[in-house]
Amino acid sequence: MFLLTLIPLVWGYLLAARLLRESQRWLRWSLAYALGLLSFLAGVNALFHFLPLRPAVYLSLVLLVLGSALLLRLPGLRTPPSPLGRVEGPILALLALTAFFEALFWQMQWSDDDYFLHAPLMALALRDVFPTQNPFLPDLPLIGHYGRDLAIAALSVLFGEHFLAVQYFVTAANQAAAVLVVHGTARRFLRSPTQALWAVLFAFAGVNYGSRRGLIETFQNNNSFAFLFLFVSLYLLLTAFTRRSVTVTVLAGLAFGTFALIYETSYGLLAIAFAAFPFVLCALRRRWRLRYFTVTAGLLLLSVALALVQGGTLTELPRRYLAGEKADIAKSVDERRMTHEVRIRIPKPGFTITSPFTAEEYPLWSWRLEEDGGMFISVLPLTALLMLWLRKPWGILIGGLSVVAILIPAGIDFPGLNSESLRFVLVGGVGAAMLFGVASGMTWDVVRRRGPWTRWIVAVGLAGVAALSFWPSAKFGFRVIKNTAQYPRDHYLVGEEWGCSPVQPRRPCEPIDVSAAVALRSIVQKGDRVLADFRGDYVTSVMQAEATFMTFARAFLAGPGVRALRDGTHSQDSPSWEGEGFRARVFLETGEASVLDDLGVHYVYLNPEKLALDVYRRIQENPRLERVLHLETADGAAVREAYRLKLAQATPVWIPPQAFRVVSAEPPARLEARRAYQVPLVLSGQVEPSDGALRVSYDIRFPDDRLVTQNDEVRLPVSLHPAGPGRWIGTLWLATPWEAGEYNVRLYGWDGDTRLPLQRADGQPAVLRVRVDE
Amino acid sequence: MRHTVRLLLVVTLLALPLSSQAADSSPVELTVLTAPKEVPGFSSFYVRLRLVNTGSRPLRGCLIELSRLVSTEPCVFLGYRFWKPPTRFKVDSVDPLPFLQHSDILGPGERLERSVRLVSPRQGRTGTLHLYAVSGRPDALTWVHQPVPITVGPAPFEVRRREIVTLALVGVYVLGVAWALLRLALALSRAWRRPCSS
Repeated sequence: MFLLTLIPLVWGYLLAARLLRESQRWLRWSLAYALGLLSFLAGVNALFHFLPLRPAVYLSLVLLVLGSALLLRLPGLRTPPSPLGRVEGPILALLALTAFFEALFWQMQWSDDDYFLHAPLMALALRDVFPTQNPFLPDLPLIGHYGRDLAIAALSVLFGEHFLAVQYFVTAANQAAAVLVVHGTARRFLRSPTQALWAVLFAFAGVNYGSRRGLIETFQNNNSFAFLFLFVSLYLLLTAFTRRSVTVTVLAGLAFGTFALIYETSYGLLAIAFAAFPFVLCALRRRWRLRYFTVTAGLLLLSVALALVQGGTLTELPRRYLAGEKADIAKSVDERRMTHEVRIRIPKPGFTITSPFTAEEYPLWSWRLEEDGGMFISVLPLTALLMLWLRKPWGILIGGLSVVAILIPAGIDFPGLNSESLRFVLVGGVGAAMLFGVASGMTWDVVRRRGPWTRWIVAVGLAGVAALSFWPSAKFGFRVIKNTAQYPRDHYLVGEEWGCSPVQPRRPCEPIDVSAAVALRSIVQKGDRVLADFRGDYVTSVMQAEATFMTFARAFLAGPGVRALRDGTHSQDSPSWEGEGFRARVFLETGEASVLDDLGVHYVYLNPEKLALDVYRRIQENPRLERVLHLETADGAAVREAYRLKLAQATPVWIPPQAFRVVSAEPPARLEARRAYQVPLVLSGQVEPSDGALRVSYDIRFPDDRLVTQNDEVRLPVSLHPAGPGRWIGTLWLATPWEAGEYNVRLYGWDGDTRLPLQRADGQPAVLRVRVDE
Repeated sequence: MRHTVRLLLVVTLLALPLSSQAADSSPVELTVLTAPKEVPGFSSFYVRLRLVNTGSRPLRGCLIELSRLVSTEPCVFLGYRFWKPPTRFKVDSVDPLPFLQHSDILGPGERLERSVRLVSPRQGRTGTLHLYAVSGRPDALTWVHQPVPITVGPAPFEVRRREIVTLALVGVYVLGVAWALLRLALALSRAWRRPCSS
């Protein structure tokens, strides 16, 4: 089956050789790979709107075969391939090899940076979940790019659905292909192998930004796809400019439009840079060429038309804009961080960039910009002007892209998402590094014709700059390779062997959880939600454990909570959610099944050892919970169970709350965060509760009345017992918020489906003021 | 000078037992309930343990970040080490075990029985697994030791397969790099020998 992957490769090769007529052999093969992958993604995405994933994959391959047959009718390339230089070739091979294997080995050990989000998304795509939904909060859609996850999931259909291994190799191949595409494009349009080599070296190994050392280390999450197809788009635009071919322009437009599905921010940056490019070019040449404008307009229009219908952010944004405010999905800015709904305000007040990790604002002339985007940003004005002065189209385009990438996060306000500024600044930093590389190459090109002394002095200077710039990247690469050779047992290609294997005291997940998830995969159906007990002290570790479980079970999670931020700052490090929301925690502390109905749970996954004995017994004896899985290790030391939640047979009788007043509700003297406590609820009322129960819910608010979390109101039956004449007592389980502080807990009673505030004896709403400690 | 050195030696010797408090003053009791006698190399196995709070104050799980204890109040954590016991009793001398979470509280007189997962070393050998219950205030931890005799056998097939595949990939990379470096060296030597052209 995996041999079918040759189909996109052949299609891509024919595009590169017969349509684009690319004469550089290495560039032709890397374009074959990139265009094959992109075409496969475009086909699968288009068909996935109407078909399940597997038929969409096979039908896309059929279409690519038919397309290849058509391309075969075009005449072949007659010009001899232009070989790489004797020095240039080995250096490029070294860089591409290292880019490939560094990405491969790192992923074999760690899988991904944001594994917790991407792996479940790929798993859910294999369950035919489309459009994408947030795997942790399935009530919220996930608006945004999904091209990378879909491409890997679709490709994995040809590899036995081992999508993690496919991800490792595709990401590694993307890195190597990106090296060759950048070099080939620069070599073609700069007309200097030296400048091209310096440009690619500085982009991949010379720019140190944020926590990364060059593009060679920037392969995690969407990055390898985002940068590869950014470079392919640049190549296609420049080729469309030089080749007077409508077909090439159409190909460039469609490829660029598909890129919007992979990374809409880079797509937007490129679109602005592309739109400005013909104006700058014509102004410099003082000659207006209509062809430049028609090619650019055609390419942009085609790409925008595709981006508006294919799915992702650029499809959702105008749809919601046309539908007005009603189309807003998220109720708060906190939820918007989860759904990735984009809002735009121009201009951004203060014209500053939001720091990704602290959410602090800094001006464009701050050193922080250099920290986030690399040191070459400080010389970007000079290098960009140099490109303009020398009229180098490739340099002008890269310079324009970099400038736009730095100005956008300062000029446009994305409320709630400003801390994503790194997505822009990174592109600016890479572009600036490439321009610096070109400037270095130009210096060398000039001095190599001068006397030996000048040549030596410049060579030593350039070698010094290169050594300083490349050293951190080389050191990291060497460390990754050395670590792999030293600990080969810690490098996995089989996801099931990797999941939860290393003992990490923080991560509450074990290999038996992976086995249980794999066993549950055939039991749960598309769209089913599982409440899984992975309670732990560390949010990120809990999320990793939950993500691993969801990935192998290919199911949605039920029970996490969306966190509201107290101070309103939104850095990337601010936790967006918690592994257990209030309702999930109350269930795990009480075994009360009605909470599961509110959560929309289909299955509950438990480690019996973690539960209190009475809670475990209550779950076992509950007729609504049917055990569907019992798994234990050979020595019986670890046990896991899963229960299916059956529909309630009878509708419970609820006592109307209007007849009761809250006399007291006294939580324990000391409340700790992330726990659940019994609160005796004393009510007064003249109505006899008989055998019914009062349905009570509560929400928890900050002192300024903002909700601590959205959509997680705990609703519980409270059985009332007499506590004197006209007095009744029951127990309410109170889940405490995630962090210490003062909170108000508002109590409500339910009359059917109507929520009514519970009132005190004086008629005021019943509100508990609680203090929570760490 | 000699006097000062002697004084320093005495102080050091006196300070050593302070950093590794004797087990009899520990507020916890650790018992190994079940443990396997033989396990395969680089594989998960479980040991069932019982922890009793024999002290007068409640204990909660320690918070450990980057091998440093960040808890500020009395806490307890479990750690292990294969073959050689640690010579210095510091938090990073052992690998911590997920036995008690920070949110769990073990009250005075309370006991907790749980199975914990460990991963055996890669190389087969017969020796001792050293288990420790570390408790107390962060500045005065006491260590309770429980040795468990154990034999680690050869690694299972999946582990050996993984090693072979990974090393084969490393080999491909090394060969590729060697080829590229050789080509580069040849190209540079040719360029060096070539007479300069104006």
